[in-house]
Amino acid sequence: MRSVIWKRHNKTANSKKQRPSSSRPGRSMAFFLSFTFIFSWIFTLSGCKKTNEKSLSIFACDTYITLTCAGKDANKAVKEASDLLLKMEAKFSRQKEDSEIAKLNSSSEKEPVTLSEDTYYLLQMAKKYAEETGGRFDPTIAPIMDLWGFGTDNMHVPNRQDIEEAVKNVDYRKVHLLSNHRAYVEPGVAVDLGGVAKGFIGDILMQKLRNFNLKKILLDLGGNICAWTSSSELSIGVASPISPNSLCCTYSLSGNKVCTVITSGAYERYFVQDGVRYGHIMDTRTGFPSDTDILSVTIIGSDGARGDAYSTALFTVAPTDAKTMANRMGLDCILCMDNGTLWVSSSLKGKVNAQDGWTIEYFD
Amino acid sequence: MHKTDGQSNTSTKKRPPRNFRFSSGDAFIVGAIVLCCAIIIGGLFIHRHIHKDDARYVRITQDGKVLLEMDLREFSEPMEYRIDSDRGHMIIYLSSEKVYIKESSCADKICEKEGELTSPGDGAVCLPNRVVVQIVSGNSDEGNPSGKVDAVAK
Repeated sequence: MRSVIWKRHNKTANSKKQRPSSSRPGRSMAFFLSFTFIFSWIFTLSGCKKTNEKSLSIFACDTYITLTCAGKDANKAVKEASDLLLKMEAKFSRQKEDSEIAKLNSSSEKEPVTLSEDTYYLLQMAKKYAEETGGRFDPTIAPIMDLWGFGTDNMHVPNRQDIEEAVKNVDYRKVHLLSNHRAYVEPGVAVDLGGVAKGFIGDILMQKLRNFNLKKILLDLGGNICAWTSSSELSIGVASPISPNSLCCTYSLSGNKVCTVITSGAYERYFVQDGVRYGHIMDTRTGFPSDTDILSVTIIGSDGARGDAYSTALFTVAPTDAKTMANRMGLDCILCMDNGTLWVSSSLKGKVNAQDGWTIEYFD
Repeated sequence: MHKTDGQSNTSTKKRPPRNFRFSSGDAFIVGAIVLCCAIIIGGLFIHRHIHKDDARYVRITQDGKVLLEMDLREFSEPMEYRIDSDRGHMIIYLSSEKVYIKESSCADKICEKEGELTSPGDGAVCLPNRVVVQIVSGNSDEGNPSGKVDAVAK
């Protein structure tokens, strides 16, 4: 009883004390409103403040690579990712003499080489993609690339006979994977993982980076984009194959999903001889640069290595076959045609926006 | 019994009267604070906007090292920037309007094919020379190519 009375007394005393300080309730209301207003502005402003973002650009894998991370661990994440990238490049690059692929290319049935787990797995994948695309993507294209001189200072149209000879050795079945991570190639066969390695490296880097406390990951491996964000939307542009430094369409990617956007086209790496343009993506059956109405193929998905291999394959087939192939494989893709049409998988409806001068036609 | 009585008593006392109204003084305080905020925020937006439109810098790097970084407005007349290294040479055209790679010793000439660089986000990369030429803006949005997208697949 006593305590209840005391409490009651106390409460009334308190409220009496407070009263004079805000004699009219209107005034406290005014303060309340103004403070709400100020705080809401402060929150809006703090939203504009940039989070810790770290970006690093390096020349590696025969291209220009930019790694960008945002979030608490950004500095550490970018550093570790670039270290890992250089390690993988050293294994996969055919041009580096002591790389595992260079060693594989000088192996034979009698002297197979032992590969690291990564390289062995990537070779397995490359062979699988080659099989699935009926050899349209083929990791053994290296001898043809050498004949044409791509990747060197001396790009030229080679002798037809030489091509016919070299194209016989373009066959992924001539790469043999043995037990215990050992492998060898048949005589005259050379492996170049250029069509799949960048996609694969992107996947591995993304896997590693997802372990860090980050809000955004954006990897640009020479035009192969791997992206992830915790919440907000990202917009990825697809380069126009006709005019440089402009886009043919944009793709908006929703939060919290790893997404790779990979484009293959011959609009950058090409040379002109006697008025004819020769691109760097080869038709694996003829040994000549692929020449169809498709200017570029963009594949969107979670698996970068697969996207990398398939975009190369789709680029070399006839446009209608490319559509059929994309459907059969369940690929989300954008085929950029030379008449200004973008053929877009209907599964991408609502996510792709065409830029001026381009029109979208959905297919399924 | 006493307890519940007491509580209901105090709560009726604390509740403000229903028909209160702003006095002119209250309205003045609210108005003044809102106005101050509006002026500050408006000023910030205008400040950002002005900077966004104006500052375009050209940044030339070789192997990650910055060779040149200049506000395009400083090029009162066009000039050519020459890079000589053991990898080869390049000539870059610079003016207040645009930047482009005029000549490069590389074989593929991808950098020359990039054409004219005019807006923040535009860039040309020469792999053999390890040279990157970029247009960047002075404000924080510089990373966005063309200011519209986060990255470009090519």
